Amino acid sequence: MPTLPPGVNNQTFETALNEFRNAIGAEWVFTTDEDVDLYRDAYSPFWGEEDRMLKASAAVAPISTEEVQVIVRIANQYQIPLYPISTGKNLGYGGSAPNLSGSVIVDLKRMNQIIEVSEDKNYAVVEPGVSYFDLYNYINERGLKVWIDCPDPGWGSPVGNALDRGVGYTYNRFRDHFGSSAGLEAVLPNGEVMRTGMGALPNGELGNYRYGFGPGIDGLFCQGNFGIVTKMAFHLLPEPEAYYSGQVIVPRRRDLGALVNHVNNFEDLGLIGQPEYGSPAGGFGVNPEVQELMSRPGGATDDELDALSARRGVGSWSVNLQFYGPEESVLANWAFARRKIAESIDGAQFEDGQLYRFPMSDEEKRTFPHRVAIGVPNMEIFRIVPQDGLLYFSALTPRSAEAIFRGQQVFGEIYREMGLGSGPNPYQGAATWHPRAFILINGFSLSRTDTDHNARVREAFSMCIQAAAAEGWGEYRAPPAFATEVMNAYSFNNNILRRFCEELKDGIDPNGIIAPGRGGIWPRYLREDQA
Amino acid sequence: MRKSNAVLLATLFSVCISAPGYGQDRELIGQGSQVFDTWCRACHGEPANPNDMIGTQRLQERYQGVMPAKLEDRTNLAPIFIETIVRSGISLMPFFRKTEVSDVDLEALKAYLTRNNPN
Repeated sequence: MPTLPPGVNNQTFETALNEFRNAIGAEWVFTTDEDVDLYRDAYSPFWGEEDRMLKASAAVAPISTEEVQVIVRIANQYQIPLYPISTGKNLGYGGSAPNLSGSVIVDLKRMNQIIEVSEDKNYAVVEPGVSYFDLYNYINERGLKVWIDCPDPGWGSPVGNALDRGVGYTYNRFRDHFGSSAGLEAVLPNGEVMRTGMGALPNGELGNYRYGFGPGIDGLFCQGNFGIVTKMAFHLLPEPEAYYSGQVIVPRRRDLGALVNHVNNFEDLGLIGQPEYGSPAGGFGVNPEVQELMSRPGGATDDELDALSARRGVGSWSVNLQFYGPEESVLANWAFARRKIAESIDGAQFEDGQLYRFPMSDEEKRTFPHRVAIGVPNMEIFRIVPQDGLLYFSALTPRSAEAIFRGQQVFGEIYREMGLGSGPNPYQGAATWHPRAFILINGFSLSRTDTDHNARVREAFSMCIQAAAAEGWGEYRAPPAFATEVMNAYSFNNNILRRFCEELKDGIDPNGIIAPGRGGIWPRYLREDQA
Repeated sequence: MRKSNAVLLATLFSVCISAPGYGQDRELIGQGSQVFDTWCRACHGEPANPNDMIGTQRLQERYQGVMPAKLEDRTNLAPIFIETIVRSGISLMPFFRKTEVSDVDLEALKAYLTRNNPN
């Protein structure tokens, strides 16, 4: 028996399914348990708790914008909630599962056309089912002199990733993937097709100027539920002549403040790609001596940690700086970065990297140390994923060392209180994918069998949301189980942000059929359930 | 009622040894090779570095050389085992939807990965 949408009886549901079959072909309407189970979240925090798993009632897989329009019109007629997915690989943030159980998944994987890649104007227009691998291969096979900016897992969708404000690794104007979009096409809840940017002109093109005229509408489709995006354009980097990366190491824990200020400036001057903070003293694992210091009541002082680092002969923090462009420029920018840091941080050390030139052979790319940094998609990131998957708590903070230190304290207390390990160590830095904010990542491992562990993780996750909000921090992205809580944490002026979205939702989607609950925005008929 | 993964996998591990393959339908094997390239190789190919190819690396840890870590080098994968892993996932590997790996693709993949099995 399928998990029916709320308020929809079996007969109505069957009638709607038959209409879907007539519209797109029976083979593209999935209704058996075996098929629909494939739309669960592989990294769900509810494994082992069947009643709480977010589950679809069915899935439909259209191949064109026109088919999406027909699906939306049928859904409106029978009040069937839909949940669109692109490639469905948003693991850690919900996978391909809906926010509302009983939703019919609109699986856009078959809409996999690369409509255009412009080498002259440096943009691509793609459908949602195109993956980063697909787009990269298309460009590579044709020898086009443009780069994509890709996130860690290469099987995701540029459209889906951008619509969940996903991120990458090159220059700031490309690695904010929604920020690098340049117009989109969407099917609205009433079945009409809208285009934004220059695409809103009858003879206009997606891919150039993002804004067109009037209010910026495309943001509504980001972590929202105001339509189903069927095409999207993205700016691409022209292939640079050279890439260079150099590493900076600073000796003391408190040197992070000055280091962050310098790196922020390099970033905002457009001199570097994504800066990667790390620590020779910490890293992913924690040194046993550090752990011993941290386990004492009150933890370790900065002086104690610095003395330990000095004794071990390692610095406290590192940052890897990446430069793209002409050979002369990348080397000059590295020299500039070295000079500025050396002037103000006593004892800073610099490790020269290697200069890479482009074009590069496939074999050279395959063995490049951090392939996503040069826009080559891969799956290496899964090396950090534990046995049964994980949830990411990802708090946005200002770009400062103070935020990093405070985050270690605030989130560390929650891990320890919930018996989930020691949490962030004193050398855990920040992710810098979004160019204007830090993201403090806290990963929580999940279990397919230990429901008590998962319950503790969920509780800790909620505690993190509240603790972050108290600091003025919010999440940039949230798994479906926590979307409402995260949205509610953005509570300025009696949650006016959410209430405004709800008013829009009620006006644009009166039957509440598009992705109820996505972004924490619920249609009127389901809002009381969430109160 | 779906069997739990643990029970199913324990059963399947016991039958995957020396399982007969699909014979030598060359066309099907060719299609399966393409399915492998599209959906499997990014994790189950030849590692370029110690962080690369998580599938190959984890199977190396699991089998410690008793069996090849690369799926393409195996000669004892049972078709039902392949199907179960693709549709149920294992460890951090998620399951694949039919819009990704269709039933037809799955048959071809089974043919490819069992092509060297002893008959």
